[in-house]
Amino acid sequence: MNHLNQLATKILAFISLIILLDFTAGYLFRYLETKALNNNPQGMIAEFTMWRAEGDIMIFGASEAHGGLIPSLMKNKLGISVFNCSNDAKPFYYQYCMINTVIERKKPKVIIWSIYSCDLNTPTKRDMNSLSVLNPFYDTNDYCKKVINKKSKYENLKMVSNLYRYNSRILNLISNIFSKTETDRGYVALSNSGYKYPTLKSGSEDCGIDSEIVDSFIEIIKKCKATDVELILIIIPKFENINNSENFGYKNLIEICGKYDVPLIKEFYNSPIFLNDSTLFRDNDHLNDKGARLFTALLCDKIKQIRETKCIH
Amino acid sequence: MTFTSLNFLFFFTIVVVLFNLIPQRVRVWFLLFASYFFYIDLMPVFAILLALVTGCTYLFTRIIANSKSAIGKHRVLVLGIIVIISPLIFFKFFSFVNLVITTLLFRCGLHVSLPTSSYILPVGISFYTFMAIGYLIDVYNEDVESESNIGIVALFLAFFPIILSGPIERAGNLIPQFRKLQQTTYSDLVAGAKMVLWGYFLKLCIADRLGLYVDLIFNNIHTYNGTTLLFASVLFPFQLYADLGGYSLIAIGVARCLGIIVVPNFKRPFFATSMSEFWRRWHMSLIKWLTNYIYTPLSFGLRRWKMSGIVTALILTFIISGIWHGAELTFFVWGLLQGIYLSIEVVTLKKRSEFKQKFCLNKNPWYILISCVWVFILFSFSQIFGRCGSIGDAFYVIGKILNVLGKIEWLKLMPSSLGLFSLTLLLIKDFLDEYYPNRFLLFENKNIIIRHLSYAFILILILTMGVFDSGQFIYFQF
Amino acid sequence: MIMQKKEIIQTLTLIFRGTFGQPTLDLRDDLTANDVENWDSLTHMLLITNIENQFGFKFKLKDLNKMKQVGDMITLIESKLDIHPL
Repeated sequence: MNHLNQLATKILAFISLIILLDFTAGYLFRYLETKALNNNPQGMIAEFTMWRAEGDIMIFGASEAHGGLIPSLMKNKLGISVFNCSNDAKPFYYQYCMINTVIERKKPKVIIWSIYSCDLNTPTKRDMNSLSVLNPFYDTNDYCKKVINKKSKYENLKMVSNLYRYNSRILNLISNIFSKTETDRGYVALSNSGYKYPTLKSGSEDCGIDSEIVDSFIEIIKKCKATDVELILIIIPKFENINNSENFGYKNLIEICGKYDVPLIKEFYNSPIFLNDSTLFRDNDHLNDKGARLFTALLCDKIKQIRETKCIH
Repeated sequence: MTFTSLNFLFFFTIVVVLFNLIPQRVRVWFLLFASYFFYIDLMPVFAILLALVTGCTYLFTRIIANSKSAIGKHRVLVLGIIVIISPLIFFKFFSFVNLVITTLLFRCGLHVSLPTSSYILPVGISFYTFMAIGYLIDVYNEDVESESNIGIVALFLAFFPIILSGPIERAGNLIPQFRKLQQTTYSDLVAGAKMVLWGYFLKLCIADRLGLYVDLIFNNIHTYNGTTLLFASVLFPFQLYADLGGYSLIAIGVARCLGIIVVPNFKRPFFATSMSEFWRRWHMSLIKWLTNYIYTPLSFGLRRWKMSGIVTALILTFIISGIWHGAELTFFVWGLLQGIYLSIEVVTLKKRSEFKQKFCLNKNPWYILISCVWVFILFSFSQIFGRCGSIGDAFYVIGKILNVLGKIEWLKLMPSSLGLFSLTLLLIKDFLDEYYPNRFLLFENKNIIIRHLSYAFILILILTMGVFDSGQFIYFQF
Repeated sequence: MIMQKKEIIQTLTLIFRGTFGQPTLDLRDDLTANDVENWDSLTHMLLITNIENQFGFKFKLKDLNKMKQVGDMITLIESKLDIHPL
């Protein structure tokens, strides 16, 4: 029995040590997080969007929007301030958390959301894993909590540890404390240095839909309506000629937008303006700076048009 | 449930606690139940195959043990080996053999399509098949007694810590331990927990981290320059060591927490000064198995040819080992290379010995360093074949390494750089264990504070730098 | 004439020295492969062949597992020579 007592004491001591260290690490990480955010908002775009980003127009999307929409150009054309909150390789649920949070924190006039037909599909494991940037907000943000809990039934258990929440982040935090990325209010130009202009891909696409994602999508649409935020969905051009006639996800996207009267700007995707000129692209999936300028200009005209017709109504 | 899932931690804890609470006579059956539970969770249908192989092994060993005639015993042995190995061959080589036949017929001008098999390889089949064959031969050679309790034989082949990825155990070591399963002692529990902790560190902080980079580069060999490919080729052996070494260590540690001592699988391989020494330190349980059951009989049979007999046996053994890793030409070349390396070493053994003695090089640190680096280069070179998808790709990579130089893709290395940090820790630890054993102790330090702080440090590293929710263990596919 | 144990050891020592390239090696009963440089599973078969040629008998495959150390080897050689006197 004495032996067992000794073992129990040791285990208890060790666990207390771990809790103490984890607690301290939590403080340290939050300190580093603030420092990094102050020095290089672009490197900490998730935190920046959550807590600080402001603009009359706010743009959400993944890398295609990050290097595809130029806020300064938009401000010149539309006369209101713009911020591009896009974050590379982030799936639907990330945008879901960000858009919900931004509307509640500092309501923008317009939200532009870059979306593709496959975004409504069931998320892959990789998609879910890429949500780990949301871990630090688990306790403070209900949307993040809801989304993270979809990963597995043990997430609330894992999130007990501060160290786990900031898993794999340490280098990222440190590098953002010491280096700075220059951006145009969230836009980072993609250049073709080291890349050849792409060759046109063609084919057909068929994506499914996930009912939970569709529900969350509609939730955001309704929320925008209720809070009087103008939601505009856009499909950013890719350098590929895709036949979407059999695409279930695409049809659904159009149907939902029609049903809830949300503008979906899809005419530049698969448009000859872009498909005939490979020098507008960095690679098949991304516009380069030249392409982004052309696309942003065209988009602004289109947005003006939409807003004017709305005013008339 | 794999070792790196949270489910496994729960499962493992429950098994250890229950194992110690239940009476001794039911422990074998309890572990057997736990092992099948573990296996069924991964591969429901193939548990039947495992049970069948177990049944055959039991039957054949009993017949051999009870048979009086030497010829009869031998016949049963041969039959037993064929029966036990056939599922492995079927699952591993079906598509390969298919391809070979189709290609041959095609060359002869015949266009025949054979039925294809899309079966996936049952996890662990290579490991339990090897263990079953080893047990059968050991019984035949009267090295071990045949076990009359089928529960123990079944547990031997299905024992959950080692079924997925080894170490490849021998009946002579495990079965006697299964016969008297005691309550876990405190020291076993602690020793096991330490190994598990260090194993997770190797797996999550080194192997999976480095893997992010190595996979990226090797999956896009046409994109990256030769220097980057070279760098990835240098990292790959470390990734492999941490991967299989870490996984083995978790397995050994888990078994230890149940009071069972499993053979080690790695012994600081990168401090080997010759290829033959390297293969006594790398994947030791597999090499022991190959030595006992393939190399020794082969070289014994060919011993009239003296050196050429040994060389032939050696090359054949490693080719078999290569093909065991994968039924592809790349693994054939991989095995052939190992065979050639070792053959050259055995042929030049005396010359090298004289040379070393003449210049007193045995303890010369520079000589040791150069030898270690040389062995590493030889091994990493062979691993290019182990890593590439096809022989063409492997030669492409080698050609590019030799010709196309440039800058290393550092930016892409960013997520893996934490892995380099952990790798440095591992190499320092291995270095100290190799040359200064019992001098700089952390996990084994007498001071309880240092000891606990070191556990905590590694745990913190795992939580901050480990790769979670990610890919599968490389050796599962073998 | 049956070979004495002493003679066996003498002959064996020469075989060991020659096979492993260790001119100063001395044999003990408890000597194992771990203690002798260059003695591994590769050179082991050379050793076996050299012993067979020198003493003029053949081992069986089963015998190999029984020789864990030099002492076992000497005992085994003695038993073989009992049956096949020189």
